[in-house]
Amino acid sequence: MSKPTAISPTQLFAMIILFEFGTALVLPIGMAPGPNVWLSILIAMPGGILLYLLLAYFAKQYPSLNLSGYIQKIVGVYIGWPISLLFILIFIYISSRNLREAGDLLIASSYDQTPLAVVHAAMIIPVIYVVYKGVNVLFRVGEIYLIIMLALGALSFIATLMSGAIDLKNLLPVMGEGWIPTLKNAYPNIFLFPFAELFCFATIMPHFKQKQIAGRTGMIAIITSSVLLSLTHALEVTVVGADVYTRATFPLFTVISTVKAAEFLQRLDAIVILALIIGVFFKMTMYAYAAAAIAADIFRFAEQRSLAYPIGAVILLVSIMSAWSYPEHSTEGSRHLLSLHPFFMVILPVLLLIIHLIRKRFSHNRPA
Amino acid sequence: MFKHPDRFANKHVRNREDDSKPGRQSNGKMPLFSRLTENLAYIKNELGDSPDIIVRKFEIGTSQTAAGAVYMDGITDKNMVNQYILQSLMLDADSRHLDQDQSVLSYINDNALSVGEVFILKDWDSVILAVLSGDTVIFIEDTDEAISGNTKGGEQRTISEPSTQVVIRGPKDGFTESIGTNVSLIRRRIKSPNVRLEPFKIGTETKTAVAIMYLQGKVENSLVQELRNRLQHIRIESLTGSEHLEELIQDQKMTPFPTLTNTERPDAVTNHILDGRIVIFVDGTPFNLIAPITFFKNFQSVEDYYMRPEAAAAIQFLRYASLLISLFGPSIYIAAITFHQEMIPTPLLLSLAAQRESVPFPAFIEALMMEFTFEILREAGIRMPRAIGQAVSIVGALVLGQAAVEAGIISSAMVIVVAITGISSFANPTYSMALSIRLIRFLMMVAAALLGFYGIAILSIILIAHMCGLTSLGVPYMTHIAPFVPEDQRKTLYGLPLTKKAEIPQTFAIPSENETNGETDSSPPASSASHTEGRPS
Amino acid sequence: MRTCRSFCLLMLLSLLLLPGCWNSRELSDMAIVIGIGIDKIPDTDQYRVSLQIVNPGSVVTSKSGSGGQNLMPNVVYSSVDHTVFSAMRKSSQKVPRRLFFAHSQLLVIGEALAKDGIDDLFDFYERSHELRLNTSVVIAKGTDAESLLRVLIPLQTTTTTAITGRIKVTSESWAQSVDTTISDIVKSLVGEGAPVISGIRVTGNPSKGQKKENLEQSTPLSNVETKGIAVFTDGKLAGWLEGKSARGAVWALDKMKSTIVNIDCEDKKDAMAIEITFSTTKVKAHLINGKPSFTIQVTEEGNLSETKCPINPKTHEVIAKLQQQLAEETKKEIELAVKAAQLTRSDIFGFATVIKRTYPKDWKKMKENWPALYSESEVKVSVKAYVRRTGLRFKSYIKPKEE
Repeated sequence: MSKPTAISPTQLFAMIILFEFGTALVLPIGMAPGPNVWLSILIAMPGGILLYLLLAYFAKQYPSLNLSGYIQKIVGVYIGWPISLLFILIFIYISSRNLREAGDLLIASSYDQTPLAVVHAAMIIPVIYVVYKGVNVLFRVGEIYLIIMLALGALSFIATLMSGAIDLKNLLPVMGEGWIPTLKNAYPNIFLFPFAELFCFATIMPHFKQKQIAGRTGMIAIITSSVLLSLTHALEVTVVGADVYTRATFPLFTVISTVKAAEFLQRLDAIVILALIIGVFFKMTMYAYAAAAIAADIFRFAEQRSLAYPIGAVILLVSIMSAWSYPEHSTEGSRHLLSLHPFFMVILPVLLLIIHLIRKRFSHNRPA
Repeated sequence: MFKHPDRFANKHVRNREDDSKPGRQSNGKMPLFSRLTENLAYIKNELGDSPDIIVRKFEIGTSQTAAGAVYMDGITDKNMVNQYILQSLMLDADSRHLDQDQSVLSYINDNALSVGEVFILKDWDSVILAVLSGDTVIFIEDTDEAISGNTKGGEQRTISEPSTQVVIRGPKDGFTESIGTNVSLIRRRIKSPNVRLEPFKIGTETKTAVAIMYLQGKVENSLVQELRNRLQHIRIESLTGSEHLEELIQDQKMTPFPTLTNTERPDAVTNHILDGRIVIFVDGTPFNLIAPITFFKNFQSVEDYYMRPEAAAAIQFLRYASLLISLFGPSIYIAAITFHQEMIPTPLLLSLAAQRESVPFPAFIEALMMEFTFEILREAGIRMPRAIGQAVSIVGALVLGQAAVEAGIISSAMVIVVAITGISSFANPTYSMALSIRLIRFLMMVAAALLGFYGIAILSIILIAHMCGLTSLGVPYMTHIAPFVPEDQRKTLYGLPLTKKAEIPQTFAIPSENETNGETDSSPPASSASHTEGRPS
Repeated sequence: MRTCRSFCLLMLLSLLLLPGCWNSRELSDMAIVIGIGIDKIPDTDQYRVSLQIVNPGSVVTSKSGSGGQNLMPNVVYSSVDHTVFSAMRKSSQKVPRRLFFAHSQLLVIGEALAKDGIDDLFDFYERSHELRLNTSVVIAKGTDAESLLRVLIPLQTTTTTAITGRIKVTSESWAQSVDTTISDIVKSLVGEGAPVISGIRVTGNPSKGQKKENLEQSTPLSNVETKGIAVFTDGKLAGWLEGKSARGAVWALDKMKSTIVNIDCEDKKDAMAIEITFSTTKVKAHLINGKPSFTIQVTEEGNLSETKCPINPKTHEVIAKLQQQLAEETKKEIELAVKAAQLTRSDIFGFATVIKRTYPKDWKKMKENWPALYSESEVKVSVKAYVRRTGLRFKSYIKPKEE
């Protein structure tokens, strides 16, 4: 029972934005958070676009194959198959990292008595459900939640404006330390997270029907999401000041809890918590789906849906066992960000591109 | 109309014959006898010698050919039988014109029987069906065929105001139980030759007449084909009403959401047909099914068409707001009171705390009790005689609530929450949707009691994912939002008739099976009013 | 596969259901803490934390049944421990319910503790998700925080609401106090500036004020009122600004919303009242020979609200004179405040931040020596004042004295 699946450009647009928001909206990003993060985001954006265009190029070259398919085509089955397997593992790992972050922050901000396993289990249930239902449902849900996210964002923005807590002077001095730290923060840190993570979209591109505008759609989505992200982080700095912003584990939450506009619009924490839940949900589900898609491909499963349960269970377990404490998780994240993440998300794709181009050149030369 | 089985002889419903009882011949058609008395005896026997079978023996005109008319009392129009069948055959038939070569049967068919619809019947199945449907069957001596004339009549409810979906300004005729009348109400409104009607008979015992009607050219052909397939593949003994049929042909079984809607109003049906949807008439019930529908259609009532567009748009938003309130009301209250007290403004929190001092139950139990009581009152109110029903239920709820507050069983804030929730759920124009929301509300309360807002958020995600996975005749349930079609927002989301552009929604198409044609546009140009392309979703 | 699926689902769901709900708290189980007071135990490292818990039943005005008149509006419990959080939790030994801090609106710091240093008090506030960063802070002047919280105030539900209300109102209408929040204090402690916190003191007899009788008098035996602004150096209380210098500080901090300035008539002193309706302050920094100097520019508008002299404000000269007098008075008060602050070497006006913003490179050199540089820097005050309206009358009804 495989229904024909197709993703429209609007759906791709919505999904990319939600994916980029993910945890980047509410959490500190970049290894060295500081008042210039908003600039670094904008600087890192072109890199993200380039990587995405690479992805779109592959999608056009191999329209019906997903990531594992064309890896095997480009480098051959014997190298490609283990690489695809590794991709499954890394996607599961990243998904569980996101889960852990969300869970820890939910507990830190509201649910301090609830055990971690419960919070994670509650989040895994919709992830499994949506991966089971398939890519169609995932993207439709994305469309609906994009509207909800934007509405939430507008509401909190208006509330913050109305409360008069914004002090633009907090943004100064812009780049007091000079260009270099800002650039260093952008590349490689912010480039890798959240932009390079888009590479997992390679697994759903076969379902996207209009490949020729895949590049354009994605570009617009990336630009929109980075502008919004940058705006949010700049807003955070203006409201709480550079120092608190740097030290906070959950800056957006801290910001919203200080907003007090009119006597009743206070403590809008629920909005931020909701934004966190939605963002993390989409990121997790996207990665889980990517893992399931590749697994179904390389292990020749007919029904991809049945993989939803085992992958979900694995993600749950990994997220609980991966670190003992939140700071440890954070440190491990920085290690991961500088080693595994760039390898799989940037270096491998670029290598693949090079090999692919070389092969194309040779195959052009042969008939001649 | 749908009387004669012979009419279906050339159509695709031939596999109805599988419904025949064991004991008959393999193709279930038993030929008639030649002798009149045998025929009459047989039919009386088959129908169990029922007292409402009338057998009238007579002679045709002056020819002394014996004939017998069989009809069923009560479902035939006696006047017609007497005047147009008996009189025309007995008195007005002039057998002098009877040619030697022409059989009596063909003479009656061509010259004597002054009835509009006649059929020549050759087997017992069709004869019995004809008699049971209200036709008069005429047997002739020495002829193994019978002729039937349409004499349907009998007592039926007149066209009256629909009882459920009442509008203030608009037509006041409603459907009745007779499928013929119902179809006629639509025919009167759409005088287009493109209106197509396809009959079915469903149920081996009841042989309920079912018909689908659509506007050729506006409707997506694949939808019609899909619906046709489903209706043809129904194998049941009896069909009791449109709800039953809805259950049989809906896309998904395990869902609380209705994927087909029903209505008692011909104007609503007309609008649906003009929008490109398909109506399914079911004999015996005034409620007819409409397919395909989207989630958003459940929030539009036909009254929107009779209001000014701005007012209709405002009321539409009100309906969505009431959906949110009735779905999330008690759960948000429970979540805020038990988990997230920091979100309540301090004075309100103090007031609520003061109220809850005397209440022995936790908020969740209290909410559950109140909601449960409210549901019981609501159900009781439906059964009570109309005069006192409404008053008793509302007053009962409020008085009960007040008394419970004074007794210290529940807090007054809870009464308010439950009352607002209950009233919001009445604002929903579709009853089946309101029922589903009531069910889901209880689930939400449980989620809120377990994990506060996190629980509500998680359950909402699951709910939305579920809704996105639903289809109605193959059309995604959440169409217009997911997949997002900008052109249709105004017409279908708000349900306003666009008086300026006679457009139909572009989105009613099941996903195309062929993916090679990847060039199909996902948002087709707005000008294609005549034929929608298949929209991949 | 089917059963495996349902099994997995069941396991997941049971994770949610079996142990019960953890974070749910019933309102009737909660003790809503509305104000917190911190004192230092002399000669030790320990804090005495007092929690003011509100009694919801007394807050509710109408209601069927439970009358609130005879109930105490609030109760204060206090406990002692080394860290703030543990002292708070220790109070659970005395409090019959679970403490709930999310609605606490006030933090009172005893004067003794303020003198000892406040810079390590606020980490708990920052980390906790229940406490709000925009809680108001006051210093209990001349007394300790606990006694302040124990005073019962008529016409208000709790002392905390009384104090917070007072602070809010007076900082905007009389402007000799500021409404400081914890985030402000943390910002200034982290930066190079110094915080300012308003002071509250108890008038009358504090011990009588803690009894019920205080509520039953038309003139309460004891009351709380705002008095002065506390100035800190290195996180320690260094001095108080009162009266005019307090108001000057408010001006310089750009927190002036409204106040009444009395200016002289030709022969009478302080005979006219100007109500300030709008005021904005800009601080500019200049480096002259490596030494910082600052300019405080104030622009304000006011209305003539009361006069004891027979003036006719219709003429331009009269208005110009009023404006000039207003500007002078403002300038005087600001200079008083600046002098007092410089004397105590506390940079309450945020001059450091201004230098950091305008001369980031030079700031690095000046950083360590800042308190000294600050107290010696030259501060120029310039005020532009406008009198816009005179109320519903032009000329006063008072007849000029005939000589």
